Amino acid sequence: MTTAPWFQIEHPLPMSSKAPHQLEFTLLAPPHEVPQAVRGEFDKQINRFVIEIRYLDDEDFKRTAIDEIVSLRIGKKSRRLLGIELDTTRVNVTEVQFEVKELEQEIERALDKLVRGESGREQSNYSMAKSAIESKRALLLDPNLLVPAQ
Amino acid sequence: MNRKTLHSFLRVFFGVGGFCNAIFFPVVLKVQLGDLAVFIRQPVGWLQERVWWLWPVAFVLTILATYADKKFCDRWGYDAVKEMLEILREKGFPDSTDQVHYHRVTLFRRRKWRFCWRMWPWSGWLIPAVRSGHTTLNHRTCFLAPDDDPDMAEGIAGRCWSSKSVVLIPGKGSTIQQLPDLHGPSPKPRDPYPLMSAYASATFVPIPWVRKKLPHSRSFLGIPVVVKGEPWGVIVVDSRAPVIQNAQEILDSYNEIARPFIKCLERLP
Repeated sequence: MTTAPWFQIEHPLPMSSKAPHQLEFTLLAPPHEVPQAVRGEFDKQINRFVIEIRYLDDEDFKRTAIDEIVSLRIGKKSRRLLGIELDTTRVNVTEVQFEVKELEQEIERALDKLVRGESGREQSNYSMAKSAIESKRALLLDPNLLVPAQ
Repeated sequence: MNRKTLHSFLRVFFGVGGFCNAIFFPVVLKVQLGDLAVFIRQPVGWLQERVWWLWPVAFVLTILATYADKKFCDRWGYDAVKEMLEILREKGFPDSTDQVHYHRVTLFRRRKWRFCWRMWPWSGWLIPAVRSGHTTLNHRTCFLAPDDDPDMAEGIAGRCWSSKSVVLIPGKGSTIQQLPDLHGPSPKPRDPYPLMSAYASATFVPIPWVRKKLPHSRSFLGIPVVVKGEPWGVIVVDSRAPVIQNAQEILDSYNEIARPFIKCLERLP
């Protein structure tokens, strides 16, 4: 059972305005695509460190492997980014800070790849998810949390 | 028939059916006609001859009533959703002394089918499921929301559904005119057609619809609702005020209540 705390994300909803007819109307990013909170914890069942992204609704996910270390959890129906799984057992994160940096770069590379590979609505969600994770990176990638608790 | 009346009717039906199945029919079968008073001997005899099919029919009908009650009248879920819509209404119009139905919050549910005298009833429709307040609850205005042809989506609800985005009319910071007041002060224009045309165009509905309904609402906010990653419906805030001043407060409030709100929707029949 996951017990790690959620870190709330605070960001204004991106806004765009269009004038289709005589009257302007405003289109705002849909609330269900905006990440609400993130958390990170080592999942002993799959033996991986998992960064979860919470939205307004819950959804089942499918796993997409980016490389040996990083896998992404993508929403089955909505294709939103629901989480990142890191095989921290492959990098010895406890010894030196450098390897946490390496892990950060791995995540960044995976998210960049994801953002570049999509267009439209998915891209907007992935960009928001990426900035959500980046804003809480220091809290999520605590070297003490990246490995299973003894 | 509204949901509450149907619920009461089905509960009575369930009670009567349960009594017949558990007590009445076994007693009718067991009783000896010779022991009965003369005036009830004939009806009991009539029942005894037919109980072999009356009993299973009553049993099946009782089960169907229970199923229908669960399917159409899950009061707890609808009441909880209605309370949450009331919260959104209070956040949007906190100091309003207007009548309740001047500012409404309606939850529309997307259904593939709708029984109506209109072409293509299977195109996909947004049907009102729950509405704030205690008035105008029986207004059943539905909007076309086809997946195959999203340009045909009607109304703010339809546009919100097809764009999967929050829609605000009139737009924030808009310098352009407000929606025309179709019930404006007299003297009314001799030819209301331009007003109706402007209203229809701005709210994505056909002109004949505007002519027939003569809507009072002049500002709208549509919020898409997604359950388990799939579009479920939309929430539409409509107001007779020219502008929804507290649109951001409504959205913030929706973000706060959305998780329990969506959990309730998951349970709705």
